[in-house]
Amino acid sequence: MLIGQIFREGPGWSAHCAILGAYTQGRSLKEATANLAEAIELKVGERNFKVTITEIRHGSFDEHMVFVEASEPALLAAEVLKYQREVHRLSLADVAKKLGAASINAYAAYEQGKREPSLSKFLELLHAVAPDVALVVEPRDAAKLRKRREEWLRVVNGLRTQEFKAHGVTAELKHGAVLKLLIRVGKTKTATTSVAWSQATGFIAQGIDPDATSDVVLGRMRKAVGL
Amino acid sequence: MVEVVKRSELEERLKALGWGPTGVSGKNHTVWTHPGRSHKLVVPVYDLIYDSNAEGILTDAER
Repeated sequence: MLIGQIFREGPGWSAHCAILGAYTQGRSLKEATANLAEAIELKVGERNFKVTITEIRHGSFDEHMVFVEASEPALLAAEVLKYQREVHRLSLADVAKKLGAASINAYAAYEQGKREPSLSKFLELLHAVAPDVALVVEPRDAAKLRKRREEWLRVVNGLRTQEFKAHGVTAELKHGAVLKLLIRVGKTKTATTSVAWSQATGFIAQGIDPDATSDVVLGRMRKAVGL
Repeated sequence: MVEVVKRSELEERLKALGWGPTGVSGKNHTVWTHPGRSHKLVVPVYDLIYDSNAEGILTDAER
């Protein structure tokens, strides 16, 4: 599942899924949404491959964030790998070398959608082709997400900005793959507790020790993705 | 005033970069390929392409 944006541009709407290089538009929000699905389907170019676009939240009145889901996730993952490899100007051989593979065939099979990677394998492949791209876990339920964002905003507004501290957290997954997350920790105005949160997931924890509080957020994220 | 690019101009620029239409199309897009690239470009068929889309497509074409 990927995240896209649909926003007002001039008299119509533009729809992007930049992680795949899909850029389109429409005269209405509905048309732009349908066009984003069609653009991604054409990029993948496989019969029976269908894309569903679901709104997850309003950034503002004229901007919508959407989930991009596919009938065949392996083909969507393959397109991400192919596109990101070219964005990062890597050849198949470059990626095979980064993965420590003797030939390009094993990696190429993932890019062609012939093999479906596990979550750990996909993270390993994604890290090889695009180290700057992160896998983000978001609540599907828009109402829950809004509630968490409101809670998050209340927490942020209660912090003293000079005490913000960002932690890059590397969570080790099964099979040795890694998931990089960003957790922020800050002290509340009462100065007796620390608050940690992840903007990507909306998970929040509060406690005396900043590191332990950060660990609580990480634990919740791990639980959410079943790790 | 919104910035737009004529689709015909965008297509000329894509051709100059070595991209060409494949003949594959959907309801509102055509598919373009390049002999040296694995990924495809998908170009909206509207006469006027909004600036953010033209920029995104051209940036991809130049990669």
